[in-house]
Amino acid sequence: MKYLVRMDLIDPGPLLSPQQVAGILENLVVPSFQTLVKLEKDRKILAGGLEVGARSGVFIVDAPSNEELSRLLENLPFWGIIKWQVTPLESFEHRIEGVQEMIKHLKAGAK
Amino acid sequence: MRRRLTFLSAFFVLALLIGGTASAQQRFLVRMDLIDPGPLLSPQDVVGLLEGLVIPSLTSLAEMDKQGVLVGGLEAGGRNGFFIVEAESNHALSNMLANLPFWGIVRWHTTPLESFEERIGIARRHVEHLSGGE
Repeated sequence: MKYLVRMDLIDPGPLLSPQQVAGILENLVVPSFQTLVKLEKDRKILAGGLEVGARSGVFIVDAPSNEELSRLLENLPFWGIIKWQVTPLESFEHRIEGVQEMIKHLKAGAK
Repeated sequence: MRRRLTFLSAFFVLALLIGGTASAQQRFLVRMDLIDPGPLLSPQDVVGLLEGLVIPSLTSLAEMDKQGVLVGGLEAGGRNGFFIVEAESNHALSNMLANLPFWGIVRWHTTPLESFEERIGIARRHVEHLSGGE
């Protein structure tokens, strides 16, 4: 199943020291991006990237279930400092079938 | 209609292939929201929209998805969809979207993306800069 995942880095606020910011980047952000790159290479993430110039990103992931997707996201080191939004997707092909079914009903109702 | 779609898909693939050799591809997130048709359309009008605009567009998107030009789908149960596509430029993306038959009845949102790899480099430079400030 395909899911669109949107991630927004939560606002760290102005009180973090440069050392703390460096720590977050080194220990949470960079390793997470490295994992995302690996998932992209393994074709678990089908496409994705970060919004240019912003602290948000999106990717489309293929996961067998909601639970598996949860595990995948929770395993990212920066899971706790990201606001996650997940949207389940259906394929264009599947929707064409649904629309064709709808047309049949509408035509039958019009007779 | 089928010939037109095949031609369109071939055009997109060709444009993307040519773009791939001529310049770097850029990645975009595209969100599409079907505009509210309102309650005044007759069932016949709705059928016309679905048959004439929606199905041909979804077929075209499904073909491009199969060919690896884009990755995406429709929000389960919703009238919105998303895909991530690579295009040579903003202009090329605009052309691609404008060629979809339902272009005029969809509200489009496009967001330029950069790769995770690219951002790792930026984060490392930030770390270096912040650590140098100690």
